[in-house]
Amino acid sequence: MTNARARTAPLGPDFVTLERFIGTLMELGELAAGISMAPKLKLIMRPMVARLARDLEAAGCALYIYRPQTRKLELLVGEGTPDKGPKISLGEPVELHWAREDAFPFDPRSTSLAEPVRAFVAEYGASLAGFGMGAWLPLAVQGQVFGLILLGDRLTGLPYGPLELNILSVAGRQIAGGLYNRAQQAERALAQTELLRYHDYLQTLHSSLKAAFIHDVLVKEAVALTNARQGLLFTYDDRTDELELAQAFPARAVTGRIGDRYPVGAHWLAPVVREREPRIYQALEVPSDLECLSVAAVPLMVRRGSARDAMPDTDLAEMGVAGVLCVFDREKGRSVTNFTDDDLEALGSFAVTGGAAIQNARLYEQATRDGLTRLYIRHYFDQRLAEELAKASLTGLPVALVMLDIDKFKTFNDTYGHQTGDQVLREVSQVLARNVRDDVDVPARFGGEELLALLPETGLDSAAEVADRIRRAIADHAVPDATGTLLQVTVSVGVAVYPAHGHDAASLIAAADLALYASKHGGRNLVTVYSPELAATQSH
Amino acid sequence: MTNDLHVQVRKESSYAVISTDGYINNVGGEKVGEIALGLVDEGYRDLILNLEKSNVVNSIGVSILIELVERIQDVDGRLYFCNLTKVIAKTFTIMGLAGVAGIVATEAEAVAALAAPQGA
Repeated sequence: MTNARARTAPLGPDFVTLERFIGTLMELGELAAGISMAPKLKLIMRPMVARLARDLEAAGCALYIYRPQTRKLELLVGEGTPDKGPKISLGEPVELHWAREDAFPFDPRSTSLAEPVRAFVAEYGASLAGFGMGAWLPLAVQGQVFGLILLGDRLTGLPYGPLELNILSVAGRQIAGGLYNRAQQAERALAQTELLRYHDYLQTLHSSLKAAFIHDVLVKEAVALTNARQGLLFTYDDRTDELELAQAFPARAVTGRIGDRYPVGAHWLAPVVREREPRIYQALEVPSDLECLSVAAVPLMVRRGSARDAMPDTDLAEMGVAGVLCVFDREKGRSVTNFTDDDLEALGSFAVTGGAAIQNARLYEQATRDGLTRLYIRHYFDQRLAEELAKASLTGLPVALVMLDIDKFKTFNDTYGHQTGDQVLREVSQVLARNVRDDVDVPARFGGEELLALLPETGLDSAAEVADRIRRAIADHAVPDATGTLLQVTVSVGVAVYPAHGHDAASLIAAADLALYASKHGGRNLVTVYSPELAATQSH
Repeated sequence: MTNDLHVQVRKESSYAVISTDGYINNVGGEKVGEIALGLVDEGYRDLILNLEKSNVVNSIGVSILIELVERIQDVDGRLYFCNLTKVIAKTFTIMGLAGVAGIVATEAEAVAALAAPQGA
């Protein structure tokens, strides 16, 4: 039968052959329609490859799938070939040329794909023994490459004729169409996830008033949503006209440190701050240590003197800059590319929500933090203490108070002036804040040079350890006066724990205060844990 | 400026656990993919990908992970994701990964799922 057809091939296809090929295309069309939904690509491709090989009487047939991330063609399924095969690497020019001009099959000697495929066959010919290579079929549609089908020599010994090549062409487009739909579906799903991510971002952003948390969320989401390599957030202080590096993602994205401040005047982001407009920078416009191809930067806008959102129709004159959000190097496939106006538009959504969130956090901080020490104010501390005691009464877990007083603070003021006194108070407060748990403990200014730390779920031994760590850290920290002379500072510390030493806020504070004064009377630079004997001594 | 994704691999007798720490973008995703496929080549067909310390995955990273799932399926292997953030778990579900790869809360759950007979 094969011989009979081989004999008739030069005279044109017979009806039986045509009918068979129409059947092939119908079945492939049916299967290809399922490609976009198939959970396992391999399972749906295997019968297609088998059908092609059988109906075209090919010695073998292998379907390679194109992996855009690695720019490689990888064997997915084979009929009459090894099931595990080598990869074909495609460079950018080959892929583009192939997609534009060579979507139609097939003669290996005439297409621009010839060289890499010929090299592939030469290198891996042994593993494809007996496969030959009668034709190949690029799976391309809409200018995109999705894969490649390699067909072995025909069993008839004849070359592939015009009819077979046309049938292959239609089959290739059917399969490529299915793969295209699958890719489109994946892209739609990705777009859907981006909307979902943005929704989640808004919820997360508004779930906290902590500046550090808000900065972190802003940078990470901006980086993820724009497919950027990394991102930086600067907050802007219009009183000093300075930018402060507030967050970087990934953490090592920048050579500076979080908290570093830069005068706007000479800074590369000055145009964004001054003009209050988003901007795309090219590599030469940014400091070389950033090592990037392009940067998209948007100002985070906020209505002056208000925590309300900056609405798009708000007059720009009423708006201030709360910060600048930058993303670096937009990823595209395996490489990076320049940002576009679309990216600036996407980042623009952060300008509104991010600016308001930063402003809200600033107002919250102003309302809860002491201006000199940056510790929490007494009112906030009292509130948190009441909350923690209420919680402790339900859980049965202890709550500790550590109270500090700077030794001979009056001497610093009298000897070196109030400015140095303020500096001592500021630095001691910072040491305290660094030695308690972020977002758990509450370091506060109790009044004058007295400081407090509320330690939730902390027992006596742990509290005493923390208190002594703080005392030692302060004693080790010299404070420079106005002339640069280093001053030694010590603190006296008292510790009390709920419920053992006090049954409510007032009695607990009184207990810590008594312990603190025991440290003072004991010679200063000491930690004293409250005991009933102290109260007895005091009453005498 | 390079990607600083850290990857740790723990090999057990019948499965391997890949734990990531950092941003999963194109560079990070490819690193994970290479390590996972290297394990497959070593004979590990069952893998657990623990993303506890990777709370940012961009869409290119997601695409690479989807590709990885397909390639592990090609060798009849199994891949379980665990410790995903809420957003990443939702993303994987929308992308159809939930149907072809396991998404579980913890590494212990992934191990238990792998221990169960296939199809159970």
